[in-house]
Amino acid sequence: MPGWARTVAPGEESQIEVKFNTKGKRNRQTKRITVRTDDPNNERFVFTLTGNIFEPISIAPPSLSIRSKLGESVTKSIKITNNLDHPLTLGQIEYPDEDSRERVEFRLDKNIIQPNDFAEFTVISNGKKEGRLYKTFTVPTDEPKYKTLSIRVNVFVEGGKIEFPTALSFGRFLIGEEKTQTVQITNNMDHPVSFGEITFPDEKIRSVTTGNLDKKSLAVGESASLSVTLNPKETGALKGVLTIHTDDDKMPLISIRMNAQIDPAVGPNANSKTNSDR
Amino acid sequence: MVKKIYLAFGILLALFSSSVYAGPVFEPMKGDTHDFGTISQGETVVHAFPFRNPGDDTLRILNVKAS
Repeated sequence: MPGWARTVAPGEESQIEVKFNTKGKRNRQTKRITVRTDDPNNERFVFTLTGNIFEPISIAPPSLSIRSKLGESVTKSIKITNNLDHPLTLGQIEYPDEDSRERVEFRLDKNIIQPNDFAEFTVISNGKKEGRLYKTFTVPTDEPKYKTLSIRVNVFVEGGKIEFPTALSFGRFLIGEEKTQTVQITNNMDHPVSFGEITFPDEKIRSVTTGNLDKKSLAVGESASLSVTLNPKETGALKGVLTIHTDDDKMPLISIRMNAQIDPAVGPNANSKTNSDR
Repeated sequence: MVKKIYLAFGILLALFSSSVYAGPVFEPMKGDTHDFGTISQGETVVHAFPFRNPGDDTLRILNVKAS
């Protein structure tokens, strides 16, 4: 903000010059210029600038976010409106790199946009590769003042995973009783997964007995169930983690937290060992 | 009698004006707002807010901040 004097002698005039760059701005804009002076009655003074920004070529939305799962194709669109007084011709979209070309596809419904008309870009994320892609794509135009238009696209493809419950609650029951819960495991990876050993590393929950997975290997999209039976020999709160080994590099272990509250048996023949006895 | 009233009024006026303009004074000359109207996106527009110091001491502009 050059052009304003830092000191103004008595009786003199000066000015505060404000430059307002409208690049990337849209619609109604307001700028406030706060001036601090040593005038005891005007220590802080606010000037206000306003203006309506006219977009000769508008892109809506100016950036696009596409979220999908691995293998899932998602389509969204972008509208380019010509507010000029003459037709606008769009060229071929320019990809910033090869990775973007492999993951995102653009289709334009028309190349020439008449005044006050619009063209629609269909943007397709093919979901072939997991991870994030945040790139700016450019479209050349025949308008000398706006030689290229920029379209920002943010793609996030969620990687496949093995779906399972992270916690398994057996609730409250009496010592000597037995309780069984079933766990559903689904393979949402893009490849088959095999299961190995099922372990209970926590000794306090050693009295748990388990059934086997009904399938040792799951194809893509397939599910298996695992029955877990709790037959405790001790009373009190039981907590432990059940783990299942897999042959997948990204998810070599499935961990499921288990909990139960075991109460002493009632009646004259009740004979149990509690955690506090130990 | 009339002369005395005029004299007293003159003294009061002089005292009042000296108290108003004592020290530095920041006084905007053309209001505190400006509307640019319609601007083409990408254009840079400029506006100057004039002000003066009618006080009897040097005015210091300590800071100017846009938000």
